[in-house]
Amino acid sequence: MINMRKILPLLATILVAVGAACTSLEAPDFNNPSIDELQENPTRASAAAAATGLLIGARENIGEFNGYVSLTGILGRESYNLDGADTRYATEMYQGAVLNPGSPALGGNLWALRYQNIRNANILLTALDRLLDDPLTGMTPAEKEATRGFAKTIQALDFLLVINTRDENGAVIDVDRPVLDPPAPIESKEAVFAHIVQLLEEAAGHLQNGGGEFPFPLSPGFQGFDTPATFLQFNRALLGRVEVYRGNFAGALTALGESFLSTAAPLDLGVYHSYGGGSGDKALTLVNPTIFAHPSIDDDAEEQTNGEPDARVLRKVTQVEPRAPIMGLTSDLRFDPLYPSPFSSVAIIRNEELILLRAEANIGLGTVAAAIEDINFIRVNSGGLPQRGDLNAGNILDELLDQKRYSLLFEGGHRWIDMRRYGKLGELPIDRPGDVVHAAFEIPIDEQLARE
Amino acid sequence: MDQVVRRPHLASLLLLVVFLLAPGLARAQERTLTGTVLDGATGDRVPFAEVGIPGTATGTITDQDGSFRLDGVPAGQSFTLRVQSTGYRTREITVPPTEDNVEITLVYDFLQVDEIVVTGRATAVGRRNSAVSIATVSAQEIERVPAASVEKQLQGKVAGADIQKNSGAPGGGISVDLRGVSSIIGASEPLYVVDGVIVSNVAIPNNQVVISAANVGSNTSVFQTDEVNRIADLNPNDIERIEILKGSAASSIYGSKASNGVVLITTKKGHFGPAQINLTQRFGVFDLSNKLDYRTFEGASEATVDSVFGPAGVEAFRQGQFFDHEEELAGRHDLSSETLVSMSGGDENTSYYASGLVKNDEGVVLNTGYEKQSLRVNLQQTLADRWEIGVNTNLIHTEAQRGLFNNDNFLITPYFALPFIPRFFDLNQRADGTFPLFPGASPSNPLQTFDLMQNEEEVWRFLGSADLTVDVWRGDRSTLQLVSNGGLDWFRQRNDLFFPPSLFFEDDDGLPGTSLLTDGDNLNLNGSVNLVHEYAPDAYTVRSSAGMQYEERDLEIGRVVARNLNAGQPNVGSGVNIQVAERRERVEDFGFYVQEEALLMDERLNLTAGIRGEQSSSNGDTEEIFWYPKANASLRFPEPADGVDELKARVAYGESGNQPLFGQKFISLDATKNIAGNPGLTFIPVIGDPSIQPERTREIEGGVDAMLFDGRARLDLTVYQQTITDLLLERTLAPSSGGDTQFFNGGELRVRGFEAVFAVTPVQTEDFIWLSRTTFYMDRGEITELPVPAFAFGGFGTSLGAFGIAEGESPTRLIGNVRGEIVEVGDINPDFKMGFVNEIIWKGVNVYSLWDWQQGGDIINLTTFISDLAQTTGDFVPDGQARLARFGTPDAGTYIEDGSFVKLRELTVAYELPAAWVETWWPWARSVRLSVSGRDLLTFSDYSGLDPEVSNFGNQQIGRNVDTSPYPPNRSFWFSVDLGF
Repeated sequence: MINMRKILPLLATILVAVGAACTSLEAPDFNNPSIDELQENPTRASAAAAATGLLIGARENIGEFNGYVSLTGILGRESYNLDGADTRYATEMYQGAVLNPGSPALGGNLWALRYQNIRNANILLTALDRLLDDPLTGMTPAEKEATRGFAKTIQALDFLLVINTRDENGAVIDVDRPVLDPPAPIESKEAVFAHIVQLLEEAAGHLQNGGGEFPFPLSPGFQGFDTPATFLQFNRALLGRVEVYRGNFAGALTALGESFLSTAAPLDLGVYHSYGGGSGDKALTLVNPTIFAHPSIDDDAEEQTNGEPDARVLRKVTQVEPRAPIMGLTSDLRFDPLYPSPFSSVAIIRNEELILLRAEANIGLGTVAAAIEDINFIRVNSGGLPQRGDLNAGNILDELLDQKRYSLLFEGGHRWIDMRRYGKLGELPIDRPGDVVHAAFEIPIDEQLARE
Repeated sequence: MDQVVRRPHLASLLLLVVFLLAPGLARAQERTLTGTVLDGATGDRVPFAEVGIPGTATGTITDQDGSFRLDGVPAGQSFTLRVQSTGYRTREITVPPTEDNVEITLVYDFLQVDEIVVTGRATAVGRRNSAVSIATVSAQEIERVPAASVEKQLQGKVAGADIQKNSGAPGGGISVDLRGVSSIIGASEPLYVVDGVIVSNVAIPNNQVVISAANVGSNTSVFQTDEVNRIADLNPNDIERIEILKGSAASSIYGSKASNGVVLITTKKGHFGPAQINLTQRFGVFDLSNKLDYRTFEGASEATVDSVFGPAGVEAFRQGQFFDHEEELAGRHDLSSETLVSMSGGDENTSYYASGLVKNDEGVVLNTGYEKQSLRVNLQQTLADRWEIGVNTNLIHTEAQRGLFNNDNFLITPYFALPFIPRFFDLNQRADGTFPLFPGASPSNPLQTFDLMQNEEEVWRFLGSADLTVDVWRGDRSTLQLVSNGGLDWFRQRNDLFFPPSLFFEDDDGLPGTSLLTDGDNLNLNGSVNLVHEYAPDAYTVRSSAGMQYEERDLEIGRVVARNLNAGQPNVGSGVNIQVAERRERVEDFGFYVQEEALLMDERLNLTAGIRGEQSSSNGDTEEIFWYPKANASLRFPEPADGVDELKARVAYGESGNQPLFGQKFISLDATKNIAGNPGLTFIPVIGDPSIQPERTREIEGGVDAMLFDGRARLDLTVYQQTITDLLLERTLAPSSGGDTQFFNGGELRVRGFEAVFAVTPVQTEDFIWLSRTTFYMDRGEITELPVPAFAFGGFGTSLGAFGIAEGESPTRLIGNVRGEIVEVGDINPDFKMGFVNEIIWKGVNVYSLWDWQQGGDIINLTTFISDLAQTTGDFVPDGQARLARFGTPDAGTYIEDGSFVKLRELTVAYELPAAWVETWWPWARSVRLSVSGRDLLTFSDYSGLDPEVSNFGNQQIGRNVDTSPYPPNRSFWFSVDLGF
């Protein structure tokens, strides 16, 4: 008989050999492009998409029901999130020695998503360095400069939002390194402000060399600020805010002077985050059944001469059926008029703030008369209130803070940040005995652990 | 029969072939034996039993009436006749020289002594010689009480298989966890193989998170929709037997898809003989088996009502008035039914099995239910003596309506909404057709929600396979066989969810009306070629096998979200605001193996060794071959002691893998977003590892199997240890890097366990048989090495309890914040589980019961947490208040409860009508059987939630046991008639 015992190992060997030879198992990523495509072989189209992507990244976690506007609104006693399914918005946000550093939804995302967009900008800046100068396949040097100026301005905005939420806890600056490298140190608030100013100044230089147009589309929220020259006005407006925040009032006035500040222009003139209902676009979830306005907004409002409350209250909040209490908190006010639809825009910075920032800088510099003029301009034109004749160096700061409260209501934590800057968090209303006003979010637990 | 054999149906067909050749070989000094084979318990005739003389080619198969005629038996001398039939104990009798007609009774193989169990892709061995612990479940055990999904019918029956339903929803959604945790973030479900084809068990969420916002809080998992793992589509009634390879020692031959175990399903095949038709008709009802019974406020003061519900509550409050909202929503008893028809038969060369199923389960909750229709045709054809072709086809259609349950951030799923609605408020539809809304925290009326919404899941599925077996060579002592198999599994799952603008909560986002369409399309393709060579001189048997396999899996999921519906139409095209998404996954695997098996020392020693090599597109390096070796041995000791018939010692080692999930190797940009129509690229912060590879499980298993008291009892004891290395892990990056997490391989997990099966026939008389089987198992896991800092996983954060993954700790332990410290607050892994099967057969009456006992296993009870927050838990005053006070200290252990339970899983009383009655009254029928049965009839548990079997996050080994507004538990009662023609 044939000795199958000898043949079989041979057959097995053949099988294995055939198997090893005939394999080419490749299944690409069908869902997304690889990062290498952008970083190593950038094209005009991919670089342009990465630039527009910065506006998508900058919009992340701003207008969510638990995003930047909502959480800073809670801390600044502008809003409530009366969520019966997750009561931490009504408990943790008002309790404890410090805010819980462990939860992404209650502060962690305010850090992580800003740094994600900072990385987006760094990826784009890397790609720009590799991009050809040919305007068809790449970008002209001027277009690259315009894009760099854009990227660094958005990066500065992200850093500003990080330090706004962390304040004295500081933030990380040197993040343009491989993700697995040891993390850079956490630096002081002052150092972060200095870095932001540096980015804005570098960006301004790039924008000035940036020619007449951006080589990529901006969102409708940038209407009027969508060329390198006009975008520079937005850059200067941000610089004005940062300089006020860090107490460089003279620098602030210079920057504001180069911005789009104008008492002749609409108060709403400015730059916004756009939201949309198209596929792949993002809706604003601040329009959420659990989000309510703080009752003190109505209670504290001045009256117009006709007896009606401050016109800004009428423009921004509306009265509804009182909400059943969640952890003892309740309200009958909602922000429906401020954010009427899921596709409403959220302000990044606008003329009304710039006028108030100019007033604030003048107060800081002791030029009270100029400040009074701006404040009364806002009282009349935004609040429908009479001019105040009794303003002086002693009471003007409180008046400024009141005007900022109502002018910038629920637009991005202005109340909380402003009161904190002047050491006045203790003056914010307390809803329940034992509640505290937190001054800053903690450095996220993952950021701390990565340093252990 | 104790020699190595091929897969069962092949064995019987070969015998058939031999039988057909036999007449030509008949010689003069031979005679003919006739006889009948009977079932010892029922007296029924046993068709298709194999009858033959061991060691010779003389053999036949009994016909439809259990009769046989065996030519060519030795004349003038006695000889041994062996009779065997699937599901019965093999019996050998001595036929005296003068006897020409015999009656042989067979006993139901309750102890599973004479089963054949798998050893490789194309090979099998008698259980008596198996060196690994393989659990088998026969059709008889599956079919007793109907269930929507086959895993449900395995519950409590298999030592080492922790099977839990994720909720009480009609249809599937059942997790199967074989031998403890084997992965932290990788796949955790076993591999399912039906007739040699790897079938998909993917679970595609229905996208209801768009409505519930379940994924926008602290856990962003989209698997919070009570999704169905698709093995639920199978028709359990088509299954002939299930073999469960619990660990790597047994499953190594399935390579890098096998570390969670393998479930091998064989469907029914036709037999030689005239057509046999079976008809089963069942009717049943489902019944809500537990409620939460919220606070009634009987005798409460207005101030109390005001403090809970505000002024609207005071307005609605009427002393002594209360409504049972749970009963109103989940108190349905609509008639459910199941109709089964099967037909089988065949001639010498061709056999067939065809079956049809129409099933309709009516859920206890308003507008929920599950329907299944299945059509199967299995054909076997022998060609030219050496060729056998088998073709199996199955077309399945299912439709499930599962309501709106599980986690939710809008307080609209029933157990999130009802706590905020006072029980004294009437939710029922008014005469004018409208529903009342209580103006509280919940923006919904669940009765309105379930009346108007739609959540439909429809699946069309086709399973097809063909196998070809060729006897390449047949010698006196050796044979060479080619076994090849190819098949496909295709399904399309379509989810239509519709929330009309008239729903109270629909306008909350400013976009009234929502319609969701999910389209999942999956194709699995398999092909394999195997060669099996057997060399069997008298003293020993050696079998060598080798083969290769190619497998491909292609999954595509498309989703449309339409909001602000034009005229409130359900068509997604009518949405003013539309979001579209698509996800595609594709995996290609190539593998090959060689295996050597030997039966030595008079078939007492069994030795096996083999190795598998595998490449996969899911690995970082698609060229790299990963090797999975195995080796095992068993030795039988006949009659080692009094009362012990036979003892077998066995030891087995095997390695297997767990592939990276699709995408874990990519570093990508997100190209799905735009802003106002302008496309933009952003970095995806979940970063892949371009060198990712499979997890590797090494398992060593040892055990003793004893046959006791003259075949009256069997005891199997097994211990095992699994060491899992190269775990798929996610490294948390410093968020300032812009990255979130990165996948990588590392760490080590160890699982040790013990399993015992004791089967016994305590009583066996002429007309009374009592069969009893007890299974016991326990396992303990420990993370022995973790190269990342300890992290919390799953759940909803450490304030409520999450899974604490840390070196030196159990992977299933729960951690939480207790007064500022993160400490252990529980463990979801049960201390042990036991199953008790008892069957009594008395004169055609058959009583069967299955009890399932789980000791330990903690649950995060957020359903009670929500009602405590609402101050409406039944025991809120004072227990709920005390819980809230404790929770505020803070103490994350407050809502973690012990999930121990004892359940009466199955109970059946069946009566087989005596043959005489059947003949008199229904002469057209062969047999008539009536039965009443029930499933999950009784639950004994201290757990305060609805049901200790619960998982908000679907099928997960780590992450389950989170109770968040599940579909309520229910029991079912059935009346069945089985007719045989």
